[in-house]
Order: sequence, then C-alpha cells, then structure tokens
Amino acid sequence: MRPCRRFEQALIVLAEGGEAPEAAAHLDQCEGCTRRLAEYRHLLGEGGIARVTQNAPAEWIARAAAIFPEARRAAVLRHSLSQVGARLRDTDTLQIAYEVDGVVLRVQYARLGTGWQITGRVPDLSWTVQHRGASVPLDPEGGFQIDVRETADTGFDLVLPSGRVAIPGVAEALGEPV
Amino acid sequence: MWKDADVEIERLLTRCRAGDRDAWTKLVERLQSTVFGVTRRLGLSEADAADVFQATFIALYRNLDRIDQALTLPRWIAVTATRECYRVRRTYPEATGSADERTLEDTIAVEQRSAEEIAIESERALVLREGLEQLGGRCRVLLTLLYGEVETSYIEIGAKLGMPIGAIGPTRARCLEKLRKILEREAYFREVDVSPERVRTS
Repeated sequence: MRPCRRFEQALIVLAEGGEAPEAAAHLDQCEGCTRRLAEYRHLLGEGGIARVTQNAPAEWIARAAAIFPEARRAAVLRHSLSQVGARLRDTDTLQIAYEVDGVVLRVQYARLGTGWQITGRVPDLSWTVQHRGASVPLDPEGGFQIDVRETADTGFDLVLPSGRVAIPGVAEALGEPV
Repeated sequence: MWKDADVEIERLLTRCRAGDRDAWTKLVERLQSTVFGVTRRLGLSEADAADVFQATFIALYRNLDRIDQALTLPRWIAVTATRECYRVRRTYPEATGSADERTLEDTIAVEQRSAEEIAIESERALVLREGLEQLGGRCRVLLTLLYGEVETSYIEIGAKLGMPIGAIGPTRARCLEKLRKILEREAYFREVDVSPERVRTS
C-alpha cells in the first residue's frame, strides 16, 4: 500500500522525532502511511544510517590492510630454450627451473592449441598451487597440471607456509613479449 | 540480496586469492565498518576492539581460499568478529545473569545466538551502506551529515555542501525517499516491524 502523498513530508518529520499532529492522527486509518513511517524510522533510528556510517579509525584500517604481504616472485634459474638458442614462438615445449625458498621447482610447458599445458610437481604437499585465484588439484605426489588458452595466462601462484610466491607467465619468465 | 555488491566482493576475493594487495585493501575498506560495528555493539574497550579488528582480518586472510561465495562473506566476517569479541571478553551484557552464574553450555548458547543475530544485522547494515554508496554524491553526504553519528547543524551542512539552509529540508526528503526506494528494491524493509501498535509506540 502506498502512503498518502499529502503526508509524505510530515512522515519524515515524525520519523525525525518532530511533531506533525495531523499526520500522526491519520496513521490510525492508513496502513500505507504507517508502513512508510516505520521504514523511515528504521533508517533514522539507531540501527540505520547512524550505525552504518561509523568507520573504524584510519590506523586500524591501515594495519589490517598491511596484513596482506606482497607476493614474492620466484627467480628463474635456467630454461631449456637457452640451450638451443630458440625463442618462445618457435617452440612447442620448454622447461623452466625456478628457485622457490631454496628449492628448485621445474615446470614444463607444452603447446595446447592457442595456449599451454603447464605441468610440475611441488616438493611439499603443504604447498598449494593457485591459478587465477582458484586452487589447482595436486596428485598424491604433488603433481599438478594447468591448461590455459593464452600465453598471457601462464602465470600462477604457490602458497607456501612462508607466504605467497608468484611464478611469472612463461613469456615474462623468458623476457620475451607475450 | 545485493547483487552488484556480491559481484564486486567476488571479484575482490578472486583478486586477493591471486595475490593482489590492492584488492585486499579494498576488501578491508569495504568490510571495516561491519567489524567495527560488531565491536561497538558488544561494547568492547578501544584497545580490545582494535585487537578484535585486527584478529578478524587476519582470520579472513587465512581463510581467503575457503570462502567460496561472496554472498557468505558479510555473514562470515560478522560471525568471526563476534566470536573474537567473546574471546577477548567472555561476558555478554544483554544476557540474563552474569557470566559467572552461567554454565559453559549456557554461555556457548548465548554467544551462538548473539553471533547469529549480529550476523543478520550486519548483513542488513551492509545493504544499507551499499544503498548509501549507490545513492552517491550530495545525497549521500547530506544524509550522512544529517543522520550520521556526529550531529551536524544545518548551518554547517549548508556551508559544507554550498546549499542554502532553506533547501536542506526539501532536499533531505528527496534523498531519503531515493534511498528508501533503492533499499525497497533489495527487500531491505522485509524485516521491519510495521504493525500499527509498534509504529505508534516507537
């Protein structure tokens, strides 16, 4: 039910705690105005605008924002193309070895249509592999496989007990244009 | 309940999981008032509230991969904050009897009930906050100044918004109605008690 147009302003005055005798008397006969007054009272009451516009102190927010560590980037140790002097665009398979927390992680890349199939094995099952924010399943030996449609999408993350490590996309790792 | 906000939170969660620090900052900014509101509601001291605030966001960071739907995040954060509040202060002022007289089971039941109530309130508060955001511009500022926690005079409001004092009243009515319509679309008022008895006695 809609409220009566002539009382629209008066209902707000009532909700604010002001006086509007004609509108107040009218409430007994009008369900629409009663409902609208209840809605305004809710918005202007203690659970309404007053509460939701409270913000935590800026230093608390800054401290909470600082919880999130910058992702470290894995260092490229070597890659198979350097041995044969080839470029990324000329090859269908390659292997890149990364250094992650003192451990060597070997990742294989194989052409898959317009994209790549990425395979590797994490040395510790407490590690998690994530691609585009989603966890990648690990087999019992820590093996993983990620299929992507574009070269630009070949980067992924490792989540270790010591934090997050970014494995760069294949072109970035080789220092070549995507 | 709030589709645009859900999509945005989902996007931020995905970016956070991918290690995007900016997305985390935005997520904290979006949820901070919920956590802060819980600490206020449960009457924590400033020092305890600051600890709860930090502990809640640490818990969120650790659980980023486990929160699989944006829709559940506001509730999750409110429940987590409530539990953290109880962890640092094992009393509940609105409960009948003091904490010392209650059994462990009673205490757990009271805290569980409280967490649930606060979660529901927090979800609604987030919808209202998003409604104000959607309102945007002068309307949002005007309503915040008029009805926010800090009382602001018409003279101050007029000066801040560059608005004649005589225009504040009619503008606030238009803005309030605009906000009400936004919230109505989100079924925000479904839980509001509109019985005539309740309205008359309020």
